Order: sequence, then structure tokens, then C-alpha cells
Amino acid sequence: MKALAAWVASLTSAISLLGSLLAKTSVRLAAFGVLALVATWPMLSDAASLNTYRDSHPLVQYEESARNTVLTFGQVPLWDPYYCGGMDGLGTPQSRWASPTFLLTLVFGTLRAEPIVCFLFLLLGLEGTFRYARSRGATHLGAALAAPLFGLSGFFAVAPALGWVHFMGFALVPWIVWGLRIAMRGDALGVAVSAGMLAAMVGFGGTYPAPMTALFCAFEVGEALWAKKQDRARLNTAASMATLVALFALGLAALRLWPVIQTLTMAPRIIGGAPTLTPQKIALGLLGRIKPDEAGDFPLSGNYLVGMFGGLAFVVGLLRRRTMAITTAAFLSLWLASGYGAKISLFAALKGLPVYSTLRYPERFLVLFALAASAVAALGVTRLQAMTRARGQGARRDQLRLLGGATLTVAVTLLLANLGPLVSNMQTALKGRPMDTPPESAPGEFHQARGTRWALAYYGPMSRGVLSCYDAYPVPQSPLLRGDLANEEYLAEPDAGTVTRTYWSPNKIELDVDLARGARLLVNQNWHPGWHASVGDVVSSTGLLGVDLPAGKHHVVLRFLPRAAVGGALISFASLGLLLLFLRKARRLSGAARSRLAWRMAAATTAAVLLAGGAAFALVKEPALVKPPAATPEGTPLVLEKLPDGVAPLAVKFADGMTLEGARLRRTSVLPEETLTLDLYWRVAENVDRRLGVFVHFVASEGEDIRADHVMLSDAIEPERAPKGVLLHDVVTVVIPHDTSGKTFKAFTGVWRVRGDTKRVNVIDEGKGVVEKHRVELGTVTVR
Amino acid sequence: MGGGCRVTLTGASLSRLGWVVFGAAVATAFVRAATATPRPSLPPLTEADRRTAYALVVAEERNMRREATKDFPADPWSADDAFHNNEYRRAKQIAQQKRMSLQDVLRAMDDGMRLRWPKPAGIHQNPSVPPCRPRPIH
Repeated sequence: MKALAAWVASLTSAISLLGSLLAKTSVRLAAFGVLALVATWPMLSDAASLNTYRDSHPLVQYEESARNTVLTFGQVPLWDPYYCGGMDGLGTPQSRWASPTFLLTLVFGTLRAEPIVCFLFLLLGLEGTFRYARSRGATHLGAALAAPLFGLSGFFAVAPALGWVHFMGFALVPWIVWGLRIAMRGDALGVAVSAGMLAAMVGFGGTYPAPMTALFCAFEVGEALWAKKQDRARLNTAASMATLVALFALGLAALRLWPVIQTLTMAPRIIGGAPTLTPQKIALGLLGRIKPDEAGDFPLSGNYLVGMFGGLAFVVGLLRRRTMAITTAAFLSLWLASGYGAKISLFAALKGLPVYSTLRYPERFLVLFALAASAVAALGVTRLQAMTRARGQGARRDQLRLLGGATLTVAVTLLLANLGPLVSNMQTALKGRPMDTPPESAPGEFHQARGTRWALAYYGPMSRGVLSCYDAYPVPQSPLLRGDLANEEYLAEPDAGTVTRTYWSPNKIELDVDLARGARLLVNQNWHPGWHASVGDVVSSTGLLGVDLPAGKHHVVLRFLPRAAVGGALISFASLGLLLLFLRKARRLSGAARSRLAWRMAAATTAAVLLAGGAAFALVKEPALVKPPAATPEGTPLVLEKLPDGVAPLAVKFADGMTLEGARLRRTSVLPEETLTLDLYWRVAENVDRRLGVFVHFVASEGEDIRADHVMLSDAIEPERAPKGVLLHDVVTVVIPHDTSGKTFKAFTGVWRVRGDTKRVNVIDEGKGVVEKHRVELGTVTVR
Repeated sequence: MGGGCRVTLTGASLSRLGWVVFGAAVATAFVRAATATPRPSLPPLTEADRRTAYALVVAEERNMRREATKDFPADPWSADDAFHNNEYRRAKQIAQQKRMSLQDVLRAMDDGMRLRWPKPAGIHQNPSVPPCRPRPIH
């Protein structure tokens, strides 16, 4: 027994030495640096090639377009003409150039900068997790050994492998919450770290990291306010500093936030489905190993790997009372990650909130779980270290020390062993990337190509835009864009005169126009309210950028300078100035005086935001974002006064606020590849559920059914945003598949909660309809 | 000397060593990325190859669109996007079979459409795309 105790004591003292080493910032950073280097080595070694995974293309393109705009044209990349016919470069949620990492892109190039950025983010994630765990009371040893559970977790392997570089922003979460925690204790530096990192995360792009981090921050604030509720002074400090962090974060991020909000207001993201994650799948995500499939996708296994070997430290951590708060955060993350699978779905409740309604993948909350698990494991190691120093006398103390020492040795060994699976998981993911020859530069006059977004990254370097378009939101895109034009700028009436391009750049186009009569100049790019012309009136010509010009000779200069970018920049710079002022003043103050300063700065920041925003409205004139009167795809009014002649009234009432007033199949006999049109006439109540969609099923006599499910009525407006109480014409078109000759299809329609639990909505009044299983029969179509 | 060499690191020198290792790790990452060799590129296409590549892809446009429309009969954007995926795969296949650069094949497809190169009879190329409408569920 004594020999065992002596052996354990020597191991404990070795572990203690390790702890002392890891307490030194330089040694710890060296260890983290080597880990990050080994983990990202396959990516660094293939830095000059292109990841051809489908999602990688637009993200490479967004960054390369921004780089090209700066280096070739000497402009701020406000407009990106290279994708979808042109889009707001700051407003597209997935671009990442509005962050400090863009400097690396400028210096090293888009492809070579990617792995460097990923390496640096891994490093940041590891050190940030260490600091976060320390702020929760973990020892240097515990915090350093548990940091890889988050810092090298599976999501940071999957994100770069799929080209989702912007999701590396999740590595900033521990810095943001660490900064917030120390800020709420009165440390002014914490305000700068938390707000600055949150703004950098927003600038780095992605629609997931920032809103999810905001939730974690809200949890931290709630915990801090609860813990300090008995002490008014400390409560005041925490509240004032948390408010300041929130305001500075919003202010600093305004450069990016305002344009993104504008984009998503113009084109709301519609997300449906009821994603579910069973406990087994969650376990697979956290404990399995990554294995790319043939399509280059990553099934869930190992995508959120924290590693099994961290389990002992985690379990010991769970047993501590002081981990109750962070354990709760871990549990909430798991609950959210289960999506609609939980009996009471927290994810479904979260999606009821405005910004969070656009979240699609609940499993991404496992990233937050990994952070919480790291902190719990760090506190577990801390507890075991405390046991090895148990006070008291006699055999019980010795037993406790022996138990603590032995368990600590095992836990530390396992945490070190855990690095193997974490690093190898990352290398497996990175080696599985479909790499290919990088795009070669072929400068020339810019023009739009129809192109294919599946190979998007190859077009920009050839000075070609790509009209084939996908992003996670309905990018405002004109149907009149063309990929076969001899000239990108032309007159709507060609015989009205001539147009000659004299200068082209992404944000500025100069043209010589000679008109015999007033005419509309068209540019083969999308309209946006941020376009201005030196002559004439900028108009949206069915979504195309147009300028109405008078007769005569004109030198027309078109410039893109959106109010959102100007206003956002003004607010961001004002906030930065106020933050620096706060840091300077706060150094000389403490306690209540610092809290008073924080409240004053919060008021000043609010005022600065309003002033700068107001200045942008005064400086940059833009047409209001008024949607044209809603119309069907056929150009007819969406809102009708009564059912058209020949349409039999149905008056089938669904629960949740929708009524099918009538329906008509325009033809009952069609040929393969012909278009069949179905008219549905809806009435939407004031209290309509926001989660609804319309399903249309053509049930085949044999073989596959045809589905025409949709959310936007007439491809124009969602039920909840449609005018209430009026008759709405929903035109549905279906192209009859080429191989359906001789078949018949029975048509049905109904309402379902496509953006909720995906269940059908009950029919509560059948009216004059033929209703079966909460769907209305519309007739039969025969394919000749 | 006979008793062996014992190295003792003081706190300061240990700290220096830590910074050196850290700096070396960061520098290695930057240098490795900056000096990595790109995947080899293929020689540029001749004008005849370009036209052949264009004709090969465009010849299948009708069939590829039919199949895509069958998958998404009521969703023009999805059908068009599925077509572009098929078009990309076909371009990639041709590039691999004929040892051509994929980028050159893509350029030929665009040039062919804009410059109205000859194409197989009965083939119509739509130069437009339906506006982007991502599916609520996919």
C-alpha cells in the first residue's frame, strides 16, 4: 500500500509539474501551436489547390471576388458582380471579408490564406477555452488539458473540410464568453475582448455562430446576475458591463449587420422541416469518428467529436456543485441539439423567436456543448487535484489523497490520450477533401455567363459572373439576366441609340450613351437600392439594373454605394472610438465609479448609433424598400375581389388560419413535358400560424407521385406576410414528367406546418370540398 | 563529465523556449501554406478541342434538363439547379476523359453560348436561369 501511495505521489508530483509548465503562457501556447499545426498539416500542405466540394465554391468565390475588387480595382468590395447576377458584398450573410482575416487573404491569396486562417482559429479556440475554464475556477492543468475537447472538436474538422471556413468563427465563442465574464466582474478589457470578438465573428460570416453565441452570452449574464443578486454594487457592475458589451458588439458589427439585415429583409430566408436528433445520433456525433462518404459529405459520426477519453474528467466535473451552472449550459445545448426529437422541444420554442426562426440544423448546438463539456472536464481535473492535497489527518486523508492521485493520473492520461483521436479525426476530414487544380487567371472584359454554380470558383478569375445561383436565402435575382449577351449594357429599345462601355469595375461602371429619344438603359446585373447614377433615374426593371435617361449624349457613371454600408461603417467607427475612450477612462476608475461610467458609455453608444444612422440617411439617398404590388408569375394580381367565373367555391377551412375558397385545374388532359397549371384561392386570417405551407400532391395511378409543395403563394409571398382577409390567387405550375404517358394523377391540396412539426393541419370545416385525411380533392389529370 | 549532463531550465529560459517553439509553429504554418505546390494543371485546349468540348456538353442539355425536371416538376429553380449539377458532372467527365482542364471546358461552354458556336440540331440553350429559390426543406 505504501509503495502504491509513493508511486501515485510521484505521478501526482509529475502531473503537478506539468500543470506548472502549462501555467506559463509561452509553454501553453507552444503546446497549442504544435497541436494546431499537426491537426491542420494536411490542409497547409495542400494550400495552393482548390477544395471542389460544392459548398466550398461560393465561399471561395465571395472571398476571391472581394480580394480581386481590392487589388485589381482599388475599391472596397461592396458589390459582388461575379455571382447570381450581382449581390451586396457586405449583405450576403456568408461572405467573410469584413473581418481581420481578410488581410491574410490579401497577402497570401484566397486559397493559401484559408488553411492559415483555420490554423489560427484552432489556436485561438484552444487558448480561449483555456481562459474560459480558468474564469470558471479551473486550475491551469485542468483548463489546458480540457481545452482540446472544444478547440480540436469535430466541428473544427468538418468546417474547413467542407469549405465552411466561416464556421471557424465558432472558435471565438470561448473568448466572447470569457471576456463577458471578466467584464461583468468589472474588468474593462473584458468589454473590448467580448464585443470585439463578437463583432469579428459577425464580420467573419455565417448565420449560425453569432446568434448561437448570443444565447450562450445570455446564459452567462443570467447566471452572473443571479449569483450577484444579494450584492447591489456587484449586480450593478455586472448589469452595466453586460449592457455595454452588447451595445459595443452591435455597434462594432454594424458595418456588417446593417447590410445583412437589409438583405434578409429584402429576401427572407424560409426554413422548413422538423429536424430530429436521437440520443444515439448525438452520441455518435460526439464520440464517433469522421468518415467521409463517396459524395464527399460527412455523415454525423464524429462531426462534433469531443472524445471518449475526456469522459472521466467530465464525470468527475459533473459531481461538483460549482459546475452546476455550466452543466446546465451543457444540458441545454444537448436539449437544443435534439431538435424536434425532444418531447418538449426547446429548439422549436427557440425557432419561435425572430432571428432564430432561420436556424436549420439543431445539431450545431453540439458545438456549444463541447465548450461547456471542456469547462466541466477542466473543473473535474481541478477537483481531483484538490483531492491530492486533502487536508486533515490520518488514514482517511491518506486514502483520499491516494484515490485523488490515482484518479487524477488516469484522468490526465486519458485527456492526453484523447488528443490522438481528436487530431486524427481532423486529419481524416482534411485528407478527405476533393482537391483539384486551382483556377487560373484569364483577365478579360467582364461579362455574365450562365455558368454553373457547382464549379463557381473557376469563373471569377476568368472575369465572368455566374448566373446559376444558390445561397441559403432567396438571393434577389432578376429573371431577365442573360448569359449570352454581346454587350452587358444595352438599351431596352435598341433603336433608341447607342451605348459604349468606357470603364468597368465592380462598384463603378462608366458608359457613353447617345440617345435619339428618352430610353431605358439596362445593365446585365441585379438592381439594388444602393446603385446611383450621375444622369437619369435608377430603376428596377423586373429586378434588372436600369437607368431611365432623357434624349441626348450622356456620360453615365453608375456607382454602388449603399446606405447600409455607409451607415454601418459610421456606426462601427463611432463605436470603436467610444470603446477606446471607455478603455482609457475605465483604467482610472473602479467599483461604483466604473459602473457609472459604463452606464454613461452605454447611453453615449446608443446616441452615437442613432446619430450615425441618421447621418447615413441624410447622406445617402435611397429608394424605400417598397415591394411592388404582389402578382402571380403570370403577372396577374395576387389579390382578387371574388372567385373568377367557372371556379366552384369550396370554403374548406383549416385550423391555424387558412381557408381554401376555391380551386381549379386548368386542364384535365395533358401531354408529357407540358406545363399544367393549378389555381388555388386562399384566404388568410389575421392570426395565421407563421409556420404554414401549402402541399399539393398529384397521386399517380402507378409509379411516382408529383409534389408541388410550396410556402410562397404564387411564388410571391408567404401566408403570414400576405394581406389578411382577402382572396389570394396562388398559381401553381407543374411540368409533367417526360415518362408519364398513359398515367393518371389525382390532385389533392392542403396545409401543413412545414416550418414546424411538419404535420398536416386539420380541416375544421369541409365546406363544399371533398376532404379525405385533411386534404382536399381537386380532380384527376390524364397524361396522354 | 563522467556523471552525465544535467540541464536545468530556469523560469525565464523555459519561457523563452516556449515562445521560440510557439513562434516556430506559427511560422511553419505560414511558410508551409505559402510554399505549398498546386495540383498540376493540364495544357490549354486548342480551338478545335474547345468546340468539341462545347458540342459534347450541349448535345446532352435536353436530356439533362428532362431528368432534372422529372425530379423537380413544380420547382423551376430546383430543376434548373439540378440540370447545372448534371452539366458540371458532364463537363468534369469530358475533362477527365480527354485530359482537358475543367476550367477550359467551362470557358468553352460559356464562349460557345455567347459566340453562338454550331451545336447539334434541335438543341436549344436557355441563356437565363430562374431566380434562386432555395427549398425550405432539403
